[in-house]
Amino acid sequence: MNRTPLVDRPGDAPFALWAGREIRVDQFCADVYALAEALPDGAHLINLVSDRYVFTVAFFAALSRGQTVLLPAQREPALAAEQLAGYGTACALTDTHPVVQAFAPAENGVATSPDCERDHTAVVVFTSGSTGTPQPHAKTWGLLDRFRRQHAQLLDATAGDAGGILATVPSWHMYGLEWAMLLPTVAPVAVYCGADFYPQDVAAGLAALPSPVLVSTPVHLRALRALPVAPRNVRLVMSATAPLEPQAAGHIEARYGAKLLEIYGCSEIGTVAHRLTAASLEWQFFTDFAAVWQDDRVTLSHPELPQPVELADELSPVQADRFLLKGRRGDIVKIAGKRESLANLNAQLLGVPGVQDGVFVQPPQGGDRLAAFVVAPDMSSAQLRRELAQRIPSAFMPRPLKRVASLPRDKTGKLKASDLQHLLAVAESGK
Amino acid sequence: MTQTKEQQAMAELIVDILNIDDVEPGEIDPDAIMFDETGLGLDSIDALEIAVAIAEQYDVHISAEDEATKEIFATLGNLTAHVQQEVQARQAAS
Repeated sequence: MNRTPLVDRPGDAPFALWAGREIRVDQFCADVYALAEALPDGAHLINLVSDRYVFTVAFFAALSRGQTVLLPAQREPALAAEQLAGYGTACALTDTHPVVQAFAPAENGVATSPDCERDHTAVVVFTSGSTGTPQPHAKTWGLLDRFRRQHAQLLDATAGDAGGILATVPSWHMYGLEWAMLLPTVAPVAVYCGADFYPQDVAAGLAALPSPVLVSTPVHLRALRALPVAPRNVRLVMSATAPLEPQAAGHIEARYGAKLLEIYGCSEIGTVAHRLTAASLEWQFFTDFAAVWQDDRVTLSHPELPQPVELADELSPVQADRFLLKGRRGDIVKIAGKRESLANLNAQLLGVPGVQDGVFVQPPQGGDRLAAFVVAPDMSSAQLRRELAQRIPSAFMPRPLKRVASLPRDKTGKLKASDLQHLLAVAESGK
Repeated sequence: MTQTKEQQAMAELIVDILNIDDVEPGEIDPDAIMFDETGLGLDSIDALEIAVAIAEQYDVHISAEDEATKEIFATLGNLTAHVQQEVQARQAAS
């Protein structure tokens, strides 16, 4: 028996700011116990709750009962059901579930934290694999515990007096799970649980927190530039899901008067490395990881990982535990934190009835979307989009989608990258 | 259903900011559901980009009031009407 506490902070410390209400650690514990009582039996809990606080309570309630939380890649209950077919008894906790509807925060706290076995499979995260079938990645409570403590140490070393977290990423995505859901259970920070998506709301949330850490992404950090006045009290800016250029990093630090900490990871493992980008482009693995290098590929071991994991990106080692990010291996693209194989996307496009030829192209500067060139003279663009939307994740829907008479394939049927980039340049200049 | 001038301007903003190349601004039905594959097939990142563009162009700031925001973004018509209302309210107050 090796049970460790789910929350490891003083009971009277602020844990969350929810609907303008401060919730203490001991009150959070009380909420977890209460919800655990209300949950139906079953080995698994599919956590589809959209409210960040209730999601967190449900997650820990499941753990305290020895249940495993399932986090499907698709949040729509109908689509999620498909992915989770093999998981036996599972309660799907949606926003309309009676337990969620009946949730009311506790007035009185409970001094003792609920706990969980270290070996217990706490959560299974699903990623859409390159074949299109979702891949499960199971994580033990021991792994989550070890990770959150390493993260808390890093936070302490980087911004020791931070008092809050506002994340523009959801808690059911690995990045948000670690840095918005788990971190406040061990680090002295209160997590903002409220509107945190539109720039106006992010600004309001940051203003309501003491010395907050902004846990965000390049997409959102760009969107926040629309605010006429930058939030004044940010203690640390964090970014992940795509690497920032050093120039962008410098701008962010100047705008917020705070350091920018980037983290790098994958859903298969979690966060694995970090860097203070304005100071250095080199990433550093967290100390528990052992890296074995082979050319541009690295395999990571960790005491809490059941087996070593090879990272999908191309990295170049600077030292055993430091590296530079070279980029995706040719075929893999990453958008909105999701990875897909270009080959698979192309195959899906060509599989649409009526598409005679087509190809996805990644714009050279990165950008947020893929472009696509399609030969489909008998289809309307609307039809094309509808068909495609059923076959690929929405983040990979092409913008722009250019209709062309033919693709510049050579005699062997290949499309040269330079020809595609040229097509793209012509398309852009024609706007 | 044909677009009003204001709806056309909003359609042009959306097409421009989201890099949608295969739909003409004038083709967007003001009553079509934008976030559906039957409409423009937009997703949440698009909503963010649109919100930012509207802030920059109209100085109108959208925030998440849950149901209300979903309604605002549901169709081109709704979005245009909301922005117009906000602009007019500001003008009346000044």
